[in-house]
Amino acid sequence: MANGQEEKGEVKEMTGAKWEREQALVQKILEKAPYAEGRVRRERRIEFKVPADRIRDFLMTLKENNFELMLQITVVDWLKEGEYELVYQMWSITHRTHAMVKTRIPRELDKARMPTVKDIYPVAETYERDAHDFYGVYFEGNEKMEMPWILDDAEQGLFPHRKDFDMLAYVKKKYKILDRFDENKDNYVI
Amino acid sequence: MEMEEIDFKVAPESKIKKKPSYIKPWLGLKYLFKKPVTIKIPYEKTQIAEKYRGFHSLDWKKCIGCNFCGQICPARAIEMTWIEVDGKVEKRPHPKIDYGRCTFCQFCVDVCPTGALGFVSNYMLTTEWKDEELELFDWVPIHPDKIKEINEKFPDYRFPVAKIEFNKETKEVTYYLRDGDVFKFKILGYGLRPPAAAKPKPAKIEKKEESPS
Amino acid sequence: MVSQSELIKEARENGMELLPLDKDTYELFFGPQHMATENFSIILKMDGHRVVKAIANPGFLHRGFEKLAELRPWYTNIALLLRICVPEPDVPEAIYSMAVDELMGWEVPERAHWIRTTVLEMARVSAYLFWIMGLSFKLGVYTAGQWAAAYRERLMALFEELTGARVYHIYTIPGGVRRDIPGDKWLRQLKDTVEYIKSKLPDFDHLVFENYITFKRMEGIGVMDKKFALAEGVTGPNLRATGVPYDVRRMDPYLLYPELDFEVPVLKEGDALARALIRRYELEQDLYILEQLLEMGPPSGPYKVQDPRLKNLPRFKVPAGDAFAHVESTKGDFGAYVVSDGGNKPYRVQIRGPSIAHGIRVLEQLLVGARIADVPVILMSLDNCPPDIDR
Repeated sequence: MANGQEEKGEVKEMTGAKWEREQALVQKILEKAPYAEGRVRRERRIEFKVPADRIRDFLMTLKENNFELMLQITVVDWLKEGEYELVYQMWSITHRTHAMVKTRIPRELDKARMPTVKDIYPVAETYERDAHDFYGVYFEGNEKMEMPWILDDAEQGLFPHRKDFDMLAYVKKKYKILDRFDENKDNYVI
Repeated sequence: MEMEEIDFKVAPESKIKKKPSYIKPWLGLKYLFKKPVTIKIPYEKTQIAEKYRGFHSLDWKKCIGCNFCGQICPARAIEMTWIEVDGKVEKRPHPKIDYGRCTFCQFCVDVCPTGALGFVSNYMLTTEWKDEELELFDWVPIHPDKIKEINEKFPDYRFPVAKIEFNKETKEVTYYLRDGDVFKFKILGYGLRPPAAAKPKPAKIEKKEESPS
Repeated sequence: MVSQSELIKEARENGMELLPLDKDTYELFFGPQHMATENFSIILKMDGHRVVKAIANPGFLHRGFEKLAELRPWYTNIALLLRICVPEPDVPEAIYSMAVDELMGWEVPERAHWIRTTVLEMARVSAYLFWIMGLSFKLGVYTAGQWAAAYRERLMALFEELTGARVYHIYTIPGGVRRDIPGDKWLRQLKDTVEYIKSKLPDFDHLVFENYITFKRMEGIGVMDKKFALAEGVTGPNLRATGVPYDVRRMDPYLLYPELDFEVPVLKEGDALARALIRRYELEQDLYILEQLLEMGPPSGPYKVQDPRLKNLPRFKVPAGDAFAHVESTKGDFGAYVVSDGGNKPYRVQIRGPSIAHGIRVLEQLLVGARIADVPVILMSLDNCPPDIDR
C-alpha cells in the first residue's frame, strides 16, 4: 500500500513541474532527429510529427532510445484534406511513456506508399498488412503485402475503411437486402 | 536492456513456480460424491436478476414520440409507428421493436426522456419453428403493469404475448396476451411524420413532434 | 469398398484434395472449426507429425467493428466494441470510455473509478477461469475445466445482478458506469464468491498446475526469449514469462490501481509452462485485488459524470482531438485510439488487441518444429483471442 501512495505523490509533483520527465525525453529525441516536431500531450503521453520520408530514421532513433514495443499502426482517413494520417503507437517500457508518431501521406491509392519498418520492428509486418487491407496503404519492402489478410477475395481492393466507401450500398449489393429504413431516415445508421 | 528502477512489487520466482506431482492429481477424486452444480432444466428453475435486461415495456401515455430511442439504437431495431386505438389516433408515434435485431443493450431505455420505455426481466426468445410465432418478436411494447400481471401468473420469463395477428388489408393488429386478454389497434404508418391516414390536425402534430428534439 | 485411387480421383474432381507437397510433407488446415483455434485458422505444412511451416489465416470473425463504430453515436458504440473481446468484454468498454473521458476532459467520479476497477478485475478473474477451462480441455484434464466453468458461473451471476446481462455487459460508459451497485447484498455476494474461488485454487493446482502431465506437455514448448518477444510486440503474461516486468496497471497506472497492492509475476523461461504459471499466479493476485477493493468499499458520490450535454445522447458531441488509452487485460496490452472531429460520431476508432502481436507472427514462428498435438497447447498458452485480431 505504502508503495502505491508514494507513487501517487510522485505523480502530483510531476504534474506540478509540467511533466519534466517527458519534456526531457522529447528534447533528447528531437536533438537526434531535428526534422521532427514533438510535444508532450500529458503525463506519459508524447507525440511526434514526422515527414513521411524520414519515418524509418525516426523509428530507428526511437528504438535506440528504448522504445521497445510497437503497439499498432493506425490509419486515419482525412477525406477533406485528402490525406491519410499514419499513427505509429509506440510504447517504452524503460521510460513508461506512450509515443504517437504521426505522419501524413496523400490518400490517392497510387500515391499512398510508405517504406516498411518491419526490419526495425518485426511486428510491424502484421500491422502493415492490416493497414493495406483496409486502407490500401502500400508498404514498400514488405513482401507479405499481397498475401490475403482478413478480407475475403471479393472484398480485396475495395479498402472498406476508407471514408468514401459506401458500406450500405455494398451490403445491399452483396446480400441483396433492401433495408426497411431506406427512405428519409438519414439519422439512422446501418 | 536497462530499465528504470522497478518501484513496484515483483513476485519472487519461488512463489510462482510449482513442482510436478504424480499423486496430487488424484485428489480431484474427493469431489466424486459431491452434488453436481448443474441445474436440471426444465425441472429446476434458474434465478434471473431482478433488473435483467430483457424485453421492453412501454407506457403509451407517457411516450412523446421523440425518436431518441430510434436514434441511439445500435442495431436499428426501433421503428416509430403511428397507431390508432379504438378509432382514436395516438398523438405521437410509438416505437416498434424488432427482436430479430435488438441487442438488448437498453440504451433506448436510458435515453427515454419521460421514462415511458422500460424493460422487464422476461428474456425467453424462443419459438417452436412456426412462422406465426416469429411475428411475435416485432411488437409495440405494452404497459409494464400489464406485463407484471402476466408474469405473476406465468413466472417462466417468456414473451408476454402468445400470438400476434396482423390483418394486412385493414392494418389491424391483435395481441392475444398470455392471460387471455385481447388487445387491438391499427397501424397507420411508419416514420416520424404522421401518415396520410392520420389526417386529424396534421399540422399540430408535426409542430409538437419537432419541439422535443 | 471404394478403392483409394477412386477416392483420390473424386477428391481431385471436387477440389478437396489435401496437397501432398512432396513425398513426406503435406498441408493441413487447422481450424477454423477446430475447437482449439476458436474461429481462427492455421495452415500447417507437416512433415510426419512435425510442423515445418505455419501460416496464420485470420479473418473468420471479422465484423468490421471499427468501420461500424464510425457510423454510430458515441454512446452506442459501447454496445458494439465490447464484442471485440468475448471472455472479458469489459476491457474494450473501459478503454473506449477512458479515451472518450480524456477527449471530454472529464474527471470521472471516485465511485465510478471504484466500480470500473472492480468490474475490470472481475472480468480478469472470469477470463482466467475461462482460460483454465480451455487449457485443461486441451491438456485432457477435463475435470478441472468443468470446475472452472462452474466457478465462472458465479461471477456471471454477479455480473448479471450488477449490469443486467451475463456475457455482454454494456456497463462501462464514457463518464462513469450505467448503473449503481445494487446494494450491500451484492458486495457481500462478491466477497463470498472471491473467498469461494480462492478456496478452490488449490484444486486447480492439484489437477492442472502441479500435474506431471502438464509439465510433460508444456515444459520447453513454444520458447520465446526476451529480445524476440519485445521485437514482436508481445505484451501481457506472455511477455512477463520471458522476464520483462511489463504490466500496464503498474507502468501506466489508471483507475484505482496506484492505490492497490499486488505483485507482478515474472519468470525467465518463456515456455508454455512459464506462461501458464504466470497466469495462474495472476489469478491469485486478482482475487487479492478484489479483496482489497471490497475492504476499501465503494466511495460515496455519483456513479457517473453530471454533465448537461448528456441530456441529449443521440446528438452528444465530443470535442475534436485524439486520445489513446490502454489497460492490462488477461491477454496483454489492450489499447484504443479514438479520433474525434467534433461530430456526434467518432471519426476513427482503432482497437489494439494484444493477440494481433502474439497471434500471427509469434505463433507462426513458435509452431515450427512443434508436434501436431502441441499446436493446441501452444495456442492456449499464448491465450490467442481471434476476435481481437479480426475485429
